[in-house]
Amino acid sequence: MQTVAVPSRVLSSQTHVTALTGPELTRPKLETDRLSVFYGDHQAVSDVCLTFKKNTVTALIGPSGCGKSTFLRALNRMNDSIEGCRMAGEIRYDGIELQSRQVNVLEVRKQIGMVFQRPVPFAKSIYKNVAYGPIRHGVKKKKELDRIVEDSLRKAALWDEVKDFLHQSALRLSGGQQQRLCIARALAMQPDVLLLDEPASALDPVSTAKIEELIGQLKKEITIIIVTHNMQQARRISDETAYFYMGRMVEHGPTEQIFSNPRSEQTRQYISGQIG
Amino acid sequence: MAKLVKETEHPLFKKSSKLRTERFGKGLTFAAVLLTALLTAAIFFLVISKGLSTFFVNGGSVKEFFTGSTWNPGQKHEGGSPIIGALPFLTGSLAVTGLSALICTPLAIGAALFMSEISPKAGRKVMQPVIELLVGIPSVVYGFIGLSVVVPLLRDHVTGSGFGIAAGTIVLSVMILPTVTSLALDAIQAVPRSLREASLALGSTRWQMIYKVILKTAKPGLLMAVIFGMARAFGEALAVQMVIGNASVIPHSLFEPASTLTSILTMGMGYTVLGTAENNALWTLALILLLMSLAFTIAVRWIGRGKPQ
Repeated sequence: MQTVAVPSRVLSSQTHVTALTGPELTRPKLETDRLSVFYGDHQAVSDVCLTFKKNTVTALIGPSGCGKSTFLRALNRMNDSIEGCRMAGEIRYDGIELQSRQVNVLEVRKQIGMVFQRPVPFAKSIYKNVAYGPIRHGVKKKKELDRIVEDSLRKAALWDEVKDFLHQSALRLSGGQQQRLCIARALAMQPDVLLLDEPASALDPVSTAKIEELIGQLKKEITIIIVTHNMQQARRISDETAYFYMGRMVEHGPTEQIFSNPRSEQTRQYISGQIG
Repeated sequence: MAKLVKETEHPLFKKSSKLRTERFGKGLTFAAVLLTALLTAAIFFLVISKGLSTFFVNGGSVKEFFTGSTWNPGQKHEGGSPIIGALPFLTGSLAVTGLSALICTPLAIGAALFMSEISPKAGRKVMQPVIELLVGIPSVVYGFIGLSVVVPLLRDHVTGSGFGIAAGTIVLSVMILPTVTSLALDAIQAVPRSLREASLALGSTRWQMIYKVILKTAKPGLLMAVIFGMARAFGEALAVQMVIGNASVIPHSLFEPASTLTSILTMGMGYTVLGTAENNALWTLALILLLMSLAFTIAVRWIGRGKPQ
């Protein structure tokens, strides 16, 4: 039997975690146990066991089609909406099995936020984009919403650029701004975990740098898992790295070790540019 | 200095059959375009000149046309101008168009949402063919069904003779439903998957996603679908004529016989002589129809251009 723990909210401003010690922090925030994902007959992810520690950034790397995005999408059950998609194995969040029947998928997605490869602002104002999640989850007071919107935009380092035209269409922002808006939109839900699916791959270098800086800031409060094709990026921003190949997780460890001294020959070849 | 090559000798001046084919094709398509444009212009010219001659040749009053409620272009006022109060038909046309759009829009959007969001499988397999079939049914069949089912139903269970705006509205809504549905479906399916996922990833329910993201994003397309439907309803003659009762009065209820621009036009055109005031008056109705369809087209264009991105 699993003991069901109530997920602790870690986003309040007082909590400031400096070191990864203590009993609460030794348990991983999120872990998968032999997680497999199938699309029809095709197995996209095979028996992946991974742990994600609190307040760390984990980079998932690997060649295209290696299953890392599918794996990421499994973590907040985004694959549910795909026809013919089936999962096996377990995903535990704060010790709770996420695929259990009693788990409310809407709450899962609220606590495990996601940002996609391409910026996808809704055809609404900047304000309404950020307020979208909180309103859907029952925040009604204007003051409260205003505070959440400002907070989230500040955290996403976008506030100063947009504060004077919050009520104009989000579609008028630049690509980089739109992506930071999408991050703000995800942060507005006050998630515990943020999943980033190649968040900077469609952006110019300046915007990319801003997003990377942002990730460094955000990890003080939340756990981040990022899929990236950019090896330098993975090295710059992540604490841990997992290398995926052909649906399997080949190697997982501290980023420095993976990049300087990988245990697996495959990993070494990928990192040095011989695979992929 | 290099010696000048005689024109005919250099390979660059060679005539080739490919070039001729090219020119021929260009000419052919240009001729097609020219013919279409000429035809359109000619139709416009004819309708406008005929339609306006009611006012300029027969001395009808524009004000009376839009506000008068007696239509009898064969007869003359004491001053010699024809009696051309077209208000009953204008209101009739606008009423059936507006009401049928009102009934049809929620049904069409609901059906489109079902086909695209709720059950794409059943939508593709069952609904899509059904709707395509419905689009292909000729309007006279709709009118016939209206006449033999809707009119008696209204007569027996509601009030009056059964003929009237209500019957016309019901027949028209069913008639434009497939058109509006398939256009609405296009608009909804054009909303990128990424937007749907972005909404779901924020923990919204499917209904919240549909309501707040899909409908919102597809709004211009949905509006266009409705306007297309209205244009079709406004211009529909046969089916409406069969069930509306064709009384040239402004009805006091939806269940009294009324008439539309198109129904009067189809009823009258066989019985008038070209060049008479009566005939010209019908052309004026045609002109109004033409202008309305132009307005609908412009509205669709305008909305289409206003689409973000």
